[in-house]
Amino acid sequence: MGDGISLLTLVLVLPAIGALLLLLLLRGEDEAANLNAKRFSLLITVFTFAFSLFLITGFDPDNTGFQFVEETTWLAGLSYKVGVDGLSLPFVMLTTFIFPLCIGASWSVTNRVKEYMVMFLLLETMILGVFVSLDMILFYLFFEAGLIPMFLIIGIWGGKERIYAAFKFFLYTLLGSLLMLVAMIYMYFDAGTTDIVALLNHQFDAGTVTVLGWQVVGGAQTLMWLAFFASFAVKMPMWPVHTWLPDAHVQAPTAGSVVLAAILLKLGGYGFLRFSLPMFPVASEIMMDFVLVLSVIAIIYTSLVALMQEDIKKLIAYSSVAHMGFVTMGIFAANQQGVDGAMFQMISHGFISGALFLCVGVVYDRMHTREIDAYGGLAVRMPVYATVMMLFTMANVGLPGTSGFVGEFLTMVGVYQVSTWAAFGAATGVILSAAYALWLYRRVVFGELIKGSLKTIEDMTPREIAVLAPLVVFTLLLGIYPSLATDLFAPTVEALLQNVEAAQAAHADALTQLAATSQ
Amino acid sequence: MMYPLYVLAFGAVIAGTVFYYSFVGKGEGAWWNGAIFNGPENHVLHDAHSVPSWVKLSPFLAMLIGLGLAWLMYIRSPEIPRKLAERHQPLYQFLLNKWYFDEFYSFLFVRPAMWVGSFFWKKGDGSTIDGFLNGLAMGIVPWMTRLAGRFQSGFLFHYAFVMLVGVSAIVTWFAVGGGAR
Repeated sequence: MGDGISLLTLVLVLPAIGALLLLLLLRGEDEAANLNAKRFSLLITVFTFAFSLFLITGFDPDNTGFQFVEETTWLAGLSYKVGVDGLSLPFVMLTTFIFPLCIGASWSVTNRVKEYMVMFLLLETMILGVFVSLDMILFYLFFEAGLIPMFLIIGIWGGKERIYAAFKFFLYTLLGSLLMLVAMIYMYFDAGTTDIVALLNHQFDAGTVTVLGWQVVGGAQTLMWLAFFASFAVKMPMWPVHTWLPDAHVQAPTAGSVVLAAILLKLGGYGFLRFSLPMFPVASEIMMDFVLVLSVIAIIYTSLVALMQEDIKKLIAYSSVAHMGFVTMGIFAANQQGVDGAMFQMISHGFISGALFLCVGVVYDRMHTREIDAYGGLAVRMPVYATVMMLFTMANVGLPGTSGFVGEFLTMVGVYQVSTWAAFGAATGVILSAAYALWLYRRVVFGELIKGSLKTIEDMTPREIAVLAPLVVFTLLLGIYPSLATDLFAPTVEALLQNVEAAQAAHADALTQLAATSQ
Repeated sequence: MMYPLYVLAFGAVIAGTVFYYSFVGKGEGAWWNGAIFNGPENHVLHDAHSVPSWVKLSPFLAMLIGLGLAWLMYIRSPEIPRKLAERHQPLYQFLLNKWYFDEFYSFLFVRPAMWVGSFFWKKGDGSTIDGFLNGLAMGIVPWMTRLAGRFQSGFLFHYAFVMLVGVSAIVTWFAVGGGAR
């Protein structure tokens, strides 16, 4: 794709162009116009997915550098530089794959349909932008701008408490990001560039410094690591800054929850892998125990909280926090299994949690309640739904044969090598996840169908089946044949870890030399 | 529902004959191909072959006793089980409730887990985390708002004075710092 617009840029801007066209050309609020908006958005997202397939066919997994790179100067010395590597391509694919399903799941939206679709299309471009940006400032812009459509989606099309949830979501994620911006400015002055490729090769100073009387081991690296951590930990979300997520999920419309769980949560993990681990390797090593402790607390704490939830969406939201604990744990274990497992867990969680929220959407559209107690005995009238829901419940538990197992298992293997206790804690979380997930399933799907309002409930429509079917396929496919995903990112992860280990070893050598000369 | 049982019964009867050779007989080494590993000092599998005959016969004997009892209690005189249950109520209840294992489990694991979950949710997430952050936001922000509001006196000369202070501060800064380099 040498001349004209490149493939990656096309994938990136197509949804935004769609949003613009929709905004400018579609008139009217009647049913026909609404249907057109839905069909047009579906078409755009399907085309985006189709184009992104060319990325995957043209991608060479064994080349651990960036591919499909495109660079042009932009404004005021900033440059537009995009590209993908083994870490970002899986997320690009996940994003383009999930969005058509989200549009398909939004057929029941009747309020301000055009604006709703515009928001979703814009959101897709913003998220894709985060994953493909090879310029730090560009990354930051997409990272922050993505908040706006999501804020509006929750705030306008959300449930009863939508305003509170939208503001909580916005303020939590924004506050964390401001510290990241400060760190980025420092990095620019230190390295003289905002180019991510150049920054990956830049050695940031890790000598101990004293700030306000405090000895900071790892120096500038640790400070920047903490600043980035403030942003990514909220996005992840990690305990104890996770409380925005259950609120946001409960209030968001179904498709909003799906995007939030399936893709937006992965921005934090992607950020850790793109910035924190490779750019601040010494700090990552210093902070490893800290992350492991927070991750294990997250896994056990939020699993226990999930057990007691009365709202289906809230339960799944808490379970997401627990599953993201495996991701952070795996990333900072910083070994091949750990990071591979974290990548896999993020992709697999994208399918599983997305599907679970879609499953909630199916019954919510019929009963307009998310209370667990309002359900029971759905298997009697909704056999197809019961089967699909069971598959994803099992996948959420991490049953072997589903993609959920691979990620949890790999991260635990990775973490076991650095801390037996952390692996033990995480394994406890797996048991708890079985408890809350199976209990939820029993209360919603099994039992006697005694509630009068459920007596006439209908099984899934062909449209709902069509939305969930691709997720069923991928959950099983990745569970049975995980190499489909790991082949994409494993070589890049290996190269990344080699650099990290080399930098950590060099730092350790420097410390020994320093100690030798000072004696 | 009988057909699955026929299949299982057929398997139960002949499985031993079919798999004996490859699982535990002469073909054992080739079949497992190292999947079951024994240390060089570990002869427990081999020793198992040379136990006294009564050990080998006891499972068969137990089966015969079970068969006889089942025939007696459920075919010959079906009233025996009820009589036994009535005569030994405590024992019967104990066995009927599976040694009260579910209750024990519920007491030891389930209820504590639910209590802790509830505590983390209401007290941890609710009061502590959200309470702290919301308290911070609702406490400090209005305080700063009031503080900032106090500066807005509305008197023109106050504003002029603040501007003058600012300008003189900048001038001093440049004078001391040497200005633009």
